[in-house]
Amino acid sequence: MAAADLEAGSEQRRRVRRSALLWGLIAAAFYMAFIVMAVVRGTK
Amino acid sequence: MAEVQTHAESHDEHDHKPHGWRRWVYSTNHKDIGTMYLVFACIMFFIGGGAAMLIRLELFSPGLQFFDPQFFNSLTTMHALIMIFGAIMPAWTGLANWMIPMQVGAPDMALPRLNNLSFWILPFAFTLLLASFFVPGGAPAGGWTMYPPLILQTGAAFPMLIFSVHLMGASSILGAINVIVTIMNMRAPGITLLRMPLFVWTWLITAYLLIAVMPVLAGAVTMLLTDHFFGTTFFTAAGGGDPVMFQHIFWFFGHPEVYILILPAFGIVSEVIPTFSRKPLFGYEAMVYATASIAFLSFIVWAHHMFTVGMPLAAQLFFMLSTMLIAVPTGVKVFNWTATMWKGSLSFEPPMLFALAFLFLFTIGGFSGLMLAIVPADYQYQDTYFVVAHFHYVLVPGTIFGIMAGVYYWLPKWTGNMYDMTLGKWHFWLSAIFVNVLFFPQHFLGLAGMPRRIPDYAVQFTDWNRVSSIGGFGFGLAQLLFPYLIWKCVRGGVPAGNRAWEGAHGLEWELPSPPPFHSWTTPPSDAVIARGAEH
Repeated sequence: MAAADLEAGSEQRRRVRRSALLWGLIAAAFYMAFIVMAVVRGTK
Repeated sequence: MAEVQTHAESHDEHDHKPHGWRRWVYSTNHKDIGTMYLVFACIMFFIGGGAAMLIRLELFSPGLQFFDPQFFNSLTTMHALIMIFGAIMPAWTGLANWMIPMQVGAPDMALPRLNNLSFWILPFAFTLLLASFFVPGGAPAGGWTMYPPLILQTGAAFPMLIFSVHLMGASSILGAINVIVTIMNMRAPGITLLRMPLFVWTWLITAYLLIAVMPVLAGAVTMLLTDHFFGTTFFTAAGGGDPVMFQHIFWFFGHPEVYILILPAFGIVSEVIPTFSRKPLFGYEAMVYATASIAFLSFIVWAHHMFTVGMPLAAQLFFMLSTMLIAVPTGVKVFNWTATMWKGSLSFEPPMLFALAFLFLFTIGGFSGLMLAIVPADYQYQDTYFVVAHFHYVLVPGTIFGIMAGVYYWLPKWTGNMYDMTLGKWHFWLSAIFVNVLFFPQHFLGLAGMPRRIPDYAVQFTDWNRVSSIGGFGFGLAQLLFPYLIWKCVRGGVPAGNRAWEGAHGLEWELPSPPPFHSWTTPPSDAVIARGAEH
């Protein structure tokens, strides 16, 4: 039981890390995308 | 199981929390961080409110009374930045920190150290922003919208403004990531998405909005920075850039930002009205879908802020109609709140009073928004006090009253004490009366043609400006009751009991008042969840 709890805990930690990283990357992508869009538009 | 609980309880009693300043500076506890956010928001509310009082003081009479126009413009710019980014957003994050883990049966936020960082960025950001009052050229005066080329004329405060906006954005993004990750990964077994309280739902949707649009603001101000210091011409017409493009990018952030400020208030009102009507929320799922619809629509309405810059007729029609479409899900919400009260056993404690005022007055702000959505009418209203009246109705008796309702609702849970009900009602009635005296006449001023962001005005606007200023001073003074009431409640009072309000449902009310330092160290049982999940 304790081993299963530990396993569930570490699985949850993995999920937390993965989703935090994913949303961080999405935020960074929005930041870069709008600057790139402005550069592309400015060089037309 | 009994042994586990005994251990958990004894652990709570000796909760190993650090003492003194370390408890706050190093805190990873969601309740302590929530408290710090709320205290910070309160301080910023009074600083931003102080700027508002000075603005109303100058506008009490026509002509220049106290300030030169440059300083007046700094006051309006800083008032907005402080209230939006320093008061309202941190207040929501504080409420999210306090309530989301307790409402979803989690022991804490998913990323506690990130949570600490998100908060502690803010004091640095706002110290930097406020310090700009004391540098050559004074504080930024180009408006909170930071439109170029005007904002590029800011003096030494310019990089301070840009850096502080970046910091605020970083703090919000980190906070939003934490909220999403907590809700998606830390819910107790049995709390499905459609069993979550509306406050959690509205915050989840708000967090998605934050992640989508705060980086856009960061991108826009980064480009301003490079235009100013590194010779780029993103927004400088002389170099082939386009100042109007900044407005499009800014409002792509700015309109969802409005919903970032209001959606959590919808969540709180959806908690408070059922409690004090002693009835379940009418149309829970419709409320969730309406919130999601509003969030989606918020991305496709931005250009209604800039009809007068010139755009193709088709674009004007699109943005006018998409803006009007928002009235549909918003109408669903107003209908459902009203239907919840229908034949309910209503009582009028301060949270309910603030929620009811929200319902009436936010709707007034919504209606004036519909008027502004009409393109030809907007050509007349643009940059007048009508716009000021509109967004203040949405943000003060809307958002601020929503925050007040939330604090009055959960304060007994946080402190374990019931607050002074009479004082709370005084606070409400003074606020509700003066907020209308303050903002309603601004509709008349705007319709009569008084422009916004000016320290002086034509004499025919004097009477309504005086009424508005008197309302402003009354509203400002009434707010002093709020921290006094909280301080009094923290110091003591009648014990509130676990379920402070007779009609309250939700997991937070299953915890003791005040809740232990570490709540839900063991997930709530199915029976507790079933009891708490009655909407």
